Amino acid sequence: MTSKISFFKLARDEWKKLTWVTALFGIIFGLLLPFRVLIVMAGESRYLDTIHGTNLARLSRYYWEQLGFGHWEVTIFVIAAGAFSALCAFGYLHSPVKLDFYHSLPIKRRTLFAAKIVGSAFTFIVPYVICQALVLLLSVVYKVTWAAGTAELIASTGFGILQFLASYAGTLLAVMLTGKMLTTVLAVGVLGCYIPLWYLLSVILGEMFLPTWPGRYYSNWETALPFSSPWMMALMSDMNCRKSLVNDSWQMVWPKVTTVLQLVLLIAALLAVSLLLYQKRKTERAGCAIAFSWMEGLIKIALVVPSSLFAGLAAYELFEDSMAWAVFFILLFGLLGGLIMEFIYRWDIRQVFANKAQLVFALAVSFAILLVFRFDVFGYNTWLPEKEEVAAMALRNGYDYFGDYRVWVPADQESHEWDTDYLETETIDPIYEVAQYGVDFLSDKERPQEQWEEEGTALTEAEIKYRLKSGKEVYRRYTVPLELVTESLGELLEDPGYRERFYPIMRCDPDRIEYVNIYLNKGMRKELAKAEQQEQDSGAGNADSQAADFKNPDSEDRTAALKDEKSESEETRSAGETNEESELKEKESTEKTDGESESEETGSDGETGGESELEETEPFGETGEEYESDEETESPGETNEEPNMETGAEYIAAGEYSEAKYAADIELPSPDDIELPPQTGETAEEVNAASQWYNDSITIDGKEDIRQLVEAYRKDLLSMPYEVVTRYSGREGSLDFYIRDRDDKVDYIIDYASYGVNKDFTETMKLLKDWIARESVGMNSSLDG
Amino acid sequence: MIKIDNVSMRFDEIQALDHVSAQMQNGSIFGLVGTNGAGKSTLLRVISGVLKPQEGSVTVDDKPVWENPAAKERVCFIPDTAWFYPNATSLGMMEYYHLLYPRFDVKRYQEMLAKFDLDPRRKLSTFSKGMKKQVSVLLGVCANTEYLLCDETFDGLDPVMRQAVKSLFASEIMNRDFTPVIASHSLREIEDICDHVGLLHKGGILFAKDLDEMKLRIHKVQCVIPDAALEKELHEELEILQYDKRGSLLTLIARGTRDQVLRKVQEKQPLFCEILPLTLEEIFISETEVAGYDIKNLVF
Repeated sequence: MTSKISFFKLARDEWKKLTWVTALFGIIFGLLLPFRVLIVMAGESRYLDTIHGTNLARLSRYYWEQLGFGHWEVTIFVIAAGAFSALCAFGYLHSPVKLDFYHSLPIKRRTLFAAKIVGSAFTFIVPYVICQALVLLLSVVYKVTWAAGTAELIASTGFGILQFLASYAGTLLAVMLTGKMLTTVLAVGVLGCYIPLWYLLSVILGEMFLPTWPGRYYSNWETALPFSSPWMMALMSDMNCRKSLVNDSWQMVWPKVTTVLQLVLLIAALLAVSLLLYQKRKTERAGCAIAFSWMEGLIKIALVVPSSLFAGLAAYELFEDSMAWAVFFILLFGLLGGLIMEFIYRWDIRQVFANKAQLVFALAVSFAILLVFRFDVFGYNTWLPEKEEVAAMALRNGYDYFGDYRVWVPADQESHEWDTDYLETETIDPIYEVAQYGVDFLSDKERPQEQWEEEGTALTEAEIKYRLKSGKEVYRRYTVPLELVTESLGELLEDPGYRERFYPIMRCDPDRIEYVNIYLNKGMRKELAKAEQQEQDSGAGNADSQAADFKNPDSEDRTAALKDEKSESEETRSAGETNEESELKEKESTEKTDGESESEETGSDGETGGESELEETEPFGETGEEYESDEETESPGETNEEPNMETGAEYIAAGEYSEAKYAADIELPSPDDIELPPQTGETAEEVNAASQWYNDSITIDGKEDIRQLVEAYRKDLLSMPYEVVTRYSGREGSLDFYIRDRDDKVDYIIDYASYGVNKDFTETMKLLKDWIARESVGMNSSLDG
Repeated sequence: MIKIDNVSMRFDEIQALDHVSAQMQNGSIFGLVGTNGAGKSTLLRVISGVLKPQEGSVTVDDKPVWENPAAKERVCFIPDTAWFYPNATSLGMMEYYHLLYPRFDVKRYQEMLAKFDLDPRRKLSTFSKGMKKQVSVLLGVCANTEYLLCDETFDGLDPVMRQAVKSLFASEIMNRDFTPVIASHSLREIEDICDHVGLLHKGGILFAKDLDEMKLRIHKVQCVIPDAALEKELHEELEILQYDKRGSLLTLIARGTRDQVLRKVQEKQPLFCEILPLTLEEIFISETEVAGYDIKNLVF
């Protein structure tokens, strides 16, 4: 009876019934889109063609900035609209009276289902499209039309409809599974949070009870999270769309085709499941909490287990690893959870104790999970395969970060998932030794980890991968002495082939590196500046030509340069005033410095000749530690009783491992290393100059410069010991490489990695020396290409 | 014809329908009676395709009703509680019904609205319960379906409207192929309109019979028999379903044809003898007692 024509009439009628929803969405999206853009444009256009104001190009940028992909503030409303619309359209499933009406009509349920979806989708599509059209109209009004922007606006409108439908379909599934509005809303929450909840629980369990657990970054959970619910998928699909300002115009990133396909498939799958459930769903379950009675027990168990476990784990942590409290809390919160669930199901306080067996089962599962993890029933922590069973292994110092291998390697090499996958080697002996040590170390009750730390042994976390001959891949993380890992890695890195695989910078495309920040300690900078000065002195013509290559140093850099020079001269004066004291300390310091450093310095001194005595005797240390001793000669007024823990090694020596990691990460020079800026002045210029003193780096962002630097660094890296490169050492400088996404067309940084550098990196130093000299001050500068 | 064949429905612990079988013939008014919770509404929902029976089947003119628009278009269901979509008016609901029931008689509906003095443009949410019932009855009648399932339709209607609706049903039966099925918890409400009656109790249908046929086989006699011995003989000879003696006046309900019952009484030389009309309730007494139930506990 219901022909195609009558279906559309039916859908139109369903839409008509939801006129109020259409009006509501019209108001919301009217405010979010045309009204918001109008306000922004009205504000900006006031300054058009005025002396302080914007030009038309800038106005256009302001306009298009508001629109298109990547606007989560609009996406959230789109997702909320999807959920709301589904609840309004299918709310009748919760009412027996409404069901009597709808299900007695002479149409099939699937027809009604489709008509409801189409009708309610129009509640969103019509106002949303109209609002986007109005926005587009504003571009004509403000004369900022742009074909590419218009195309993106149209595409983003279509994508917004997909996001709406994804949220709609997810909510529809919740409606189909439940029989009451309250439980539908709860079901949306559960469907949205359940996977992240278990993810969080697994992380807590792993971190609490499995010290050899490699961490959440080695878990597929992490990558699964954006797919954990329809709402998350809809939101994340837009989060990945970005726009950046390139050459004064907006470059847009549209969603990938795979993202669109994923959304389409998700919507289709959810609607198909919902339709199936709708046809299976019994009308008489309207008003019941759950539409399918057989699901009640499963849902109860599925919710009571994680909630009681959370409570138990919180108690375990709160009461200092007390199992008794953990068990009590599991019991208490499990019981409460079960009773609440029964109350939601029955809506009768007298029946909350129904289905005790389910509750008992849920509690038993919670206890079992706790006990399995707490007592490592399956021997996870002590697992170590026989050496004969192992085909290959990989070792990574957990405190190192040379970049995410998945990001850095060329696309054709991107076949693995985790960092250690790229580091596999069949030379397993050095790694197996670390693993063996890690297992023994963990089970050594007589000499626990705390004791090692008290003794000042530097510890690190060794990430190890086993690839067994059976094909099985296993990841573990062991706490072991740093020295052991360094030795093992040193042994492995003797192989140049392995070295090339070990450092991602060896394989990445230099064109993908957006810029490089260079951090050097004061000694190195001075050394480089000194060497360059010598060269300049010996051949001014050559220096002039090099200076000509230096492009566009901005005014701030020049100011900083002047400040730096001023400070240098002040420091020299200061040193002169306290000459006697200084000389005494210099003498002591020189005695402490090793022979090699001394001889290098002597050589250097011989070359510079005319430098002050202070600078001539300044040793160029291998590490920050050595340099610190040198600082004593530079700051005569300072006492050296307190340890100056600015380098990772010093923190490690003091047992402050987290600080060591932090210090190594940011690689701040010691305050004593830095020539102090002038006291913060009154003017903005002075304040700015002072602040820049602490941002002690050079930024290289010219394509050719980056390419040269990467090539030079690679050459050096092939022969450098691991200890120099790792950030765990107190190295003298670092190169921080910032890399763009492989597929991105815009300057969006997705990762950065820090590599150590010292004077032995001759190829690198040669470049840095030139650049620092050209900048005059050496630091606080940006070298634009 | 609506054919209900061995239909069972269970809601969790409650057996709402227990192997119910019945037939509802065209052109008659079928009364479905039973106490609250007897399963009347459930049976109507099954017939209208709202509920899917767990056992058995329901066919409308030999077509299974579940998920079958071809069968459902022949049936219109007026539930106990009328529901109209938000902000609907009588005319709005007419358009919706017209969309779903192509034979919907728009003209007649508008005429009937006027006759029943119902404002077509007024929001139905402002109508009283009785007025809403009237609108839903008019929608159901004007849908022009062969079968109209009415669940407690007269509940909430005032006596005038009740009579008007009954007249409307009668008129429809006269003019077209129309079979109303009226579920009610009160026999008195439908006794003057039904041709066939089905009695539901605890999910089971005790019987479903033609009312006239039942009336032919049960009779109520009032008489005075002076001789106690003869009176005793009458007791033995008649299949008495109900016996009441006030003073010397005997009132009997006995099974048998009118002639059979009268002859037996007159053989006992009564001073006075008369056949009285039976109410539907009294007819039910006999049938339910045969089935082993006490009718007073079932219906009254």
